[in-house]
Amino acid sequence: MRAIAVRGAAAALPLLMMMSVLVADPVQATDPLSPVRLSVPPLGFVLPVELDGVSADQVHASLVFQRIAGQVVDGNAQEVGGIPVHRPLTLEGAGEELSVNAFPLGPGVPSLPNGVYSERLQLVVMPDPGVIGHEITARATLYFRATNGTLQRLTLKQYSALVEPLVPGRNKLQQSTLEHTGAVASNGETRPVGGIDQRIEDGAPFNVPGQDESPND
Amino acid sequence: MKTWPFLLAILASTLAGASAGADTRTYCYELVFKDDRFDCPLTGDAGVRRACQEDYYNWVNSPDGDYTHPVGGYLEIWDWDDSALSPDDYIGTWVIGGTGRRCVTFEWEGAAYANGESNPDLYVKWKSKVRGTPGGPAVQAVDLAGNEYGDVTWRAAHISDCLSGSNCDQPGYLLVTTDTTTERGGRVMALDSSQHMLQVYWSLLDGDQIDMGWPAAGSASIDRHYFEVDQTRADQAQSPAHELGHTLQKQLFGQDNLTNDCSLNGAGHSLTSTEFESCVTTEGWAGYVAAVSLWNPQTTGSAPSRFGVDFEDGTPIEAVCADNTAIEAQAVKGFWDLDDDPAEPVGAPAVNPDTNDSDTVFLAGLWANFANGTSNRENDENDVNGVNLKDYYQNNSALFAFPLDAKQSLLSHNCMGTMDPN
Repeated sequence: MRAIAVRGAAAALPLLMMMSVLVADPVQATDPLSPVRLSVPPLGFVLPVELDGVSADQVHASLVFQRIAGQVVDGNAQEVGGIPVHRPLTLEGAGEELSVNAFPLGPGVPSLPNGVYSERLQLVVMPDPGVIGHEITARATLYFRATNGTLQRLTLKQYSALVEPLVPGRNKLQQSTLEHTGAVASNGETRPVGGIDQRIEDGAPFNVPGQDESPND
Repeated sequence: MKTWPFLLAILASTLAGASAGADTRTYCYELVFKDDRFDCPLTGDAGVRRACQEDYYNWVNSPDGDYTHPVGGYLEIWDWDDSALSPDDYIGTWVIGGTGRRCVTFEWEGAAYANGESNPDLYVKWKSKVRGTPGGPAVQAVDLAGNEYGDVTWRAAHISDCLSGSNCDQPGYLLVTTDTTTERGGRVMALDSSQHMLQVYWSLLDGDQIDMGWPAAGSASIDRHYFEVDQTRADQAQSPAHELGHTLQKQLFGQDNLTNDCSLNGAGHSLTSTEFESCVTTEGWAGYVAAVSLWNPQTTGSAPSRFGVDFEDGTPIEAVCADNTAIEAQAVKGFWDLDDDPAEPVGAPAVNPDTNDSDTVFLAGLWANFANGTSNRENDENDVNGVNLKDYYQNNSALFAFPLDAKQSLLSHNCMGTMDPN
C-alpha cells in the first residue's frame, strides 16, 4: 500500500508543485513527547535523561533484566542464577545534564554468564495530588551480549535475530518466506470456548487441483 | 455461561456443512502474546474496553508474565503434510473474534485443500495483521522498506487427524511472543494497540489496508494509509492509536496532510507545551482518539490518562483561562467531554459545566463537514491557528442534539472559547 501511495504521489507531482504555492509544506503529525525522556546512545550504558516540569528527586529509576544469559526472565522472578532481576538506580548530574548509568554489573552482580541480555531502564514519577494526576512512566531497553567478561551492545535487530531466529516457510501462494516459530505453553488448564471466529478467506482457490495426497498424509 | 450458545453454533455450522454435502471440522485453540504496555487500562479498571496485560499466567516451561489475547488478529489455518511428499495445504483465514479460547469451523471432504486426505493435521499461523472484529480495513505491519512481516507458525505443534464430529483441540496455549523487547514482541503489541482504535472507528475508515511501519525512529502519521511506530513506543498503547487518529482525520478530509503547526516552541510537542491552535487541535484530536480507543467514555469512573495527565480532570490545566487554548491536553479533554456521559461540574477558571454526551463515531464523522480549501473553517486553512476547536464546533453546531451543551462542554468548560474565530 505504501509503494502504491508513493507512486501515486509521483504521478501527481506537477499538480502538487502547482498547489505548493498555495498550501504550506505538510507537517508530519507525530506523537507527543513525554515529560520524562530517556535517550539510548549507540554505545555504552549511560543514558541521558530529560525532564520537563518534573524534578529529579521525583523520579524513581530502576533497571530490570528482561533476559539473562539467553533466557527470558519470569515476570515475578527476584533473581536468576544469583543475579538480581531488579536494581534501583540513581539519576546523576543536575539541570540539563542528567543521566542514568545502567551498566549491568553492579552491587551483587560482579560478573555475568556468557549469553544474550536485555535490560529495561524505567523511570517512574508517582502521582502528586493537584500536580500530576497519574503515574508517569518512561522506558528504554538496552541489548547486549556477554562474552568472557566483555559486554557488547546489540541493536534491536541484532538482538531479535539472535533470540528469535527466522525459519524458512511458505505462504498461501506456496512462495518461500521467513517465519517465526511460536511457543506452546501450559498451565494445566484449558478454558471453556469463548466463541467461533469469522472466516474471511477460503483457502480452496489457493490450492492447485491434481496434487492428490495419500489419505493419511 | 457461554457453553450453550457455542454448542448451538457448532450444531448450526455442522448442519449447514452437512446440507452442502461436506463434513465440517471444528478446531479450537487459545492464542496469547506477552504484554507490558502502560498508559492503558487493566482488567477491572473503570471504562476498560479491552484490557492490556489482560491476565497473569504461570506457565510450565515458558516465561511467566502478563499475556493478552490478540483480538482482531488474522489467523491462518493449515493442514500439515509431510513436506517430502507434498506441501502443506492452506485452509483459510479467520479473524479472532474475542478473548479466551476460540474455535474455527470449515468444510473438509470435497474441499480443494483436502486433496484426497482423509482428515487434516491442523496448525495455526498468526499474521502481522489486525482489523476491527465487525469489519473495516486492516492494519498490516511492514518493515520500513514496506515489506510485510512473515508469520508466526505453530507447524511443529500440529495436531493429527482432526476427525469429523470430534473436538479437535490444540493443547495448551499458543504464545505469539514470550519477550516484549524483541522486534516481534513490539510488533504484536503495536498491532494490538492499533486494533483497539479499529474496533471503535472501523466503520469510518476507508481502503482495504493501512500499513504500520515498524520499528521506526519516531511515531508519526505519514499519509492516510501509512503510519509508523517508534521503536521505543510499542509498549505505549496510545502511540499507535494516536497516529491512527491522524489517519482517520486525513481520510475524513480526503487528503494526506493536516494543518498542524507545532513549531511555536521549537520542534515537537507535548501534552502541556505551548503551541499554535492548529497543533493543539490536531494533536489533541489524535490524543482523544487514542484515549477513547482504550477507555469507554460512557462509563462512570472512566478516566483516561497519558504521561501523567488525567483527561477526565475537570479543572483546566492553566490557571489563566485563555492560556489553555495553547495546550494540547486541554483539547484532548475537550473532545473527551463532548463524548463522555458523566456530567462534570464547572472547574475554575472555566465558567460552564460539561453536560454534553455525544456518540464517539458521530464526533469523528464531523471532520468530513470541513470544506476543501485554505480559507477560514476549511480543511487546509492557511493559518497557524486554523482548523481549531472553534472551527470544529462552528462547522457542526447544528448537528449536535443539544448545541449549547456541546458548545459549553467543548469550548467554555475547557477554556477554549477564546480560540481564533478566523
